[in-house]
Amino acid sequence: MKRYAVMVFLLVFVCAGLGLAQEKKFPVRDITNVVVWAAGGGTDVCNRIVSGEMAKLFKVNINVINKPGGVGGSIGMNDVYSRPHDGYTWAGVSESCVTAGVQGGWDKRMYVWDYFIVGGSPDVLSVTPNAPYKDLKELIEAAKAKPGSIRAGASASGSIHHLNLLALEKGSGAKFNYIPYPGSAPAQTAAMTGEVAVVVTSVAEQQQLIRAGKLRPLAMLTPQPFTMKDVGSIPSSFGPYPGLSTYLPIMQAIGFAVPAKVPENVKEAIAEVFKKVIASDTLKVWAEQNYYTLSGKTGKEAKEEFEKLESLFAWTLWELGAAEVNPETLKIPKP
Amino acid sequence: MDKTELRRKDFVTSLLLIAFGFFLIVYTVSEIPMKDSWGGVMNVWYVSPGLFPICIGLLIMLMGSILCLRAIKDGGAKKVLDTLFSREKRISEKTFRFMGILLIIFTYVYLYIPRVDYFLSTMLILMVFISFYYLDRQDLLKKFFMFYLTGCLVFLILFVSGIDHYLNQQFLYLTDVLVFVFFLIYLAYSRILIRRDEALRKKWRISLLMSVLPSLVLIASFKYFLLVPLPVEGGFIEIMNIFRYALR
Amino acid sequence: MFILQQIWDFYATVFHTALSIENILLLFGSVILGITFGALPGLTATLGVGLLTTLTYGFSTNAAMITLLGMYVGAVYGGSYGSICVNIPGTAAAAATAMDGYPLACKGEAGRALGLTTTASFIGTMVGMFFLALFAPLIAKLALQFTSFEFFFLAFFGIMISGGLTGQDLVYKGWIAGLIGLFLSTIGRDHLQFFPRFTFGLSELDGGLEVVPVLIGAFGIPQIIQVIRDQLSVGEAKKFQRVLPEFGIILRRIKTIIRSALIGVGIGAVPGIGEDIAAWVSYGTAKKASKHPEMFGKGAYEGVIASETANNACIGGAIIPLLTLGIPGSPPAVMLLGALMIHNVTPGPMISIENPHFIMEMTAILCLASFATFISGLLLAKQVVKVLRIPPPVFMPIVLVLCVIGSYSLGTKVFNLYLMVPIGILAYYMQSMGYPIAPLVIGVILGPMADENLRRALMVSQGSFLPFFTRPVALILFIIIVWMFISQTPFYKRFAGELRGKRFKGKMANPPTE
Repeated sequence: MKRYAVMVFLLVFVCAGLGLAQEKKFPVRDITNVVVWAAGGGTDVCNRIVSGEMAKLFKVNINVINKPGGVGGSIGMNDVYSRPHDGYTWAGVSESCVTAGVQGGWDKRMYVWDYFIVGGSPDVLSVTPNAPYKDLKELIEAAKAKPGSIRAGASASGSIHHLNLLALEKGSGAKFNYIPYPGSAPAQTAAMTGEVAVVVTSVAEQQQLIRAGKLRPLAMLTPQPFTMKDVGSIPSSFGPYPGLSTYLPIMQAIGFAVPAKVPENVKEAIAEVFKKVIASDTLKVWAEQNYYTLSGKTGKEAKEEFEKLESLFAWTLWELGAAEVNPETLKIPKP
Repeated sequence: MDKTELRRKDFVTSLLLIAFGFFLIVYTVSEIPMKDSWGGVMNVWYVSPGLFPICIGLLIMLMGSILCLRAIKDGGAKKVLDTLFSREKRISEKTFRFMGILLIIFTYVYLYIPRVDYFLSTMLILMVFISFYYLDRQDLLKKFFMFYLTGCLVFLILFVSGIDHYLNQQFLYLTDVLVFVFFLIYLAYSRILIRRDEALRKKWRISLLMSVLPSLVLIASFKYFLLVPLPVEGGFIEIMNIFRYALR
Repeated sequence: MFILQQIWDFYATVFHTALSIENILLLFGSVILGITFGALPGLTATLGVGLLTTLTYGFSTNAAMITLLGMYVGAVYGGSYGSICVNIPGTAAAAATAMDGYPLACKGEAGRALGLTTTASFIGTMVGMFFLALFAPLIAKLALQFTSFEFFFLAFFGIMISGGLTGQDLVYKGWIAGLIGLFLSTIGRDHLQFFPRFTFGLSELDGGLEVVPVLIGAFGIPQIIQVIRDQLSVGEAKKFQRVLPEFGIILRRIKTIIRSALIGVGIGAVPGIGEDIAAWVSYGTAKKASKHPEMFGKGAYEGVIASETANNACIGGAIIPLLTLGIPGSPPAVMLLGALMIHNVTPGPMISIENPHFIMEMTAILCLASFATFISGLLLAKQVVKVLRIPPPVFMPIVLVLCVIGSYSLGTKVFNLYLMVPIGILAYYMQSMGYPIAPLVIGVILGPMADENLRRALMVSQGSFLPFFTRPVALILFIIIVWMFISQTPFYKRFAGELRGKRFKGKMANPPTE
């Protein structure tokens, strides 16, 4: 009995040594992509598709798991950051993750990550089909006439859609009664049932309902109009309100990130395959059918985009009084 | 349990409940804003995040008071006063078994899982848990208990003082190795204690088998089939990795 | 003519799917995996569907749906194994099954109880499927009647039901347990304003407590402690009957079955709430409607049948709003939504135009999955009962390890384990003092729903309570709640007892519908 024990014991050392020696090429093991938002959402779906396609090229499994919770996905980000910085653990993130810092769940800046941005879907403002407002102008005028009387739904306070709504309020001078929902889907449902009159979510999330006539789009919150199958062109909100350009657009940025300390050759290997996947037909077809705009940014470009988002989100939340940590203490520059 | 004994406990619980309800209300009033706007939402009393906790606090206090009255009526309060001064306490056999389970659950969840290789901690806990109760002898249980407790205290000191970080820096997976050594010593110790009894030896072998095999099956299927990353993937899971990637 | 066409289409799809050997293998594989998942404590249908979504990425849409729906149906059914055999529900959906299933197992009727749940689950799934096939558009309309007002009443209704699940001691101990559950549910950031409540600066608490660790802590740990401490044997496996239940037992309870199935479909169709609540509501209603409510909790067949029929019927219900509106009706359906999007099927009102055959395919798969579950269930139940022959001191430690890995896996958070243990010990002490545990778990499930929706409703109505009584569905729910409340008072019980004794001898009180 004892002899066996000693042998097992020795085996541990030998094998552990072997395991360390062979890590040169990337990837030799399965990769885990920890999505910091719940399953079924936009970030989750995007990450699963990109991971699935990248796995084919890497010839290893990429396991996508969900680790939601905390503020701005802080639990998942902290977990990924605490694992070895070897490129085998990724964090599936989105633009809203940049709020984790000022909400007290993440004590670092966002530049400790390197990003691989898949893309996002532009935001659109819609109303209940039987609402009296024909276009954005009528809606804004009505909201100005009686400030706070029109109910507008969007996902949770501090989310990208909430920020889009706020930017619209700032740029046009209207004031809505903001009703928060746990996600975009419940907010859209509430607009269908008439609980709220106005809803702001992304085109990808709304497209089915818009095309079926369950919601009526008034304006895109981007500089360009948007053409949708069966519906036609949705005008940009910048037309009637050019002042919006100071606050908008605030675009989604869905993708994944690895800690910046991951070896350069590993990051390069990931970026190379990532770019191939973004350029592939599978992803193009998927993005077109689901109304996503592909980005494919990596490296410095992607980092800059997230820095911009970080300062915008952090300071907006701070002004709203919904931040716990002053962005100044984290040395986040003002937008 | 007989009725007055139950009411005695109810009396104590009811006091705790009233205190807890009071705490809820104080916390809510002092910590949660009832009026000021938070997060860009217009705030009035009926929108306040404090509304629900206050209601719960009030209801808990109400229920606690009802329970308290009932306990006084049924003589529970008197019983509390009676037993308060007669400090006669003896650890019965059942209580000891209960403490054993608590020790196992606490050390597993709070001591080993966060710091030690998941396979190793599971195997250790299964062996300890099964051998505690499957051998089914009060004297052995006591000895095992003390032995295991001592080992855990050593590791507790190691972990709390932060020496384990230092050790792991000196040599990869050294903490895992130490825990594994503890597992082997526990095996040896329990085996020596029962060396004269054939029936117990057979049970001991089953315990060992039932601690190694389920851990192996469970962890392999979670890690490689269901693709769940485990809490701490230390030396043993690294060995499993090597086998897994050698096989494909 | 339209219906005939539908039926013909349906059979054609079923046979088309069933003819391929690969599909059948996938189906049985995923169903058996699902049952295992359900039976193991802490591994839920949600987690199972989520994990399989990754594994089925490379499959065709059809094959992926077979796997995922097989998993879903299997896991919801499999939850009953843990409930009946060891009194540790494998999923929250099966917690209500434990109320009567475990007492049955203690009486030596584990085999019969498993047989009953197998049949009840089968019937439930089939009813759900039937509604999905024929009334999907209609039910989708019903789902859109639910605004914050109705959600609040629904949550309140569930909480009322938990008040009826009293233990052996004082009645209000159930309420106390429920209130503690409601308190636990307030921990974390509130969903409206994101304000941290009772988090004490711990970032792990920001997201609130997850249901699985609470469920496993509250049911699993007390059971492990009790069995080992008092040297109990887990159930009796010696007197083993055949698993296929006598036809008579089922037939005599056909009323319960139909009622439970309707409740299941209805609750499934309401967005966002799932199998767990369906099972509890159905159980509570069955108890109310029963001639012998005192038998519930001591091993009533009705209790087992009610909860299992409802939680499986809920699947069909939950898929309806998912496919027709793009709103998932239950937590596992959220996972299904993600899986569908990955396979380039965007569920929503346009699905019948873009993918005209898709709803029919899902219906066919659901039908096949329920048959597969029934067959594997009957085969497995016999083997599962044998688990009870393992001596508890060997069995329970393994159960502990399963509980731990189960609570950990859903969010892969060690913090969940830190919560599970204190909740378990609290539950153990509460149980030893005669408090029922079920209301605590229901409180945790329903607390956020009641809290959030009440406040949002008042926000929408600017502080007015009027819409609670002017909206038709809200009013109906309100009347049901008032009726339930009155029927719990001693005055009503005496009154009803007299009436029943005099005039309607043996006639049941009208069961409320969903």
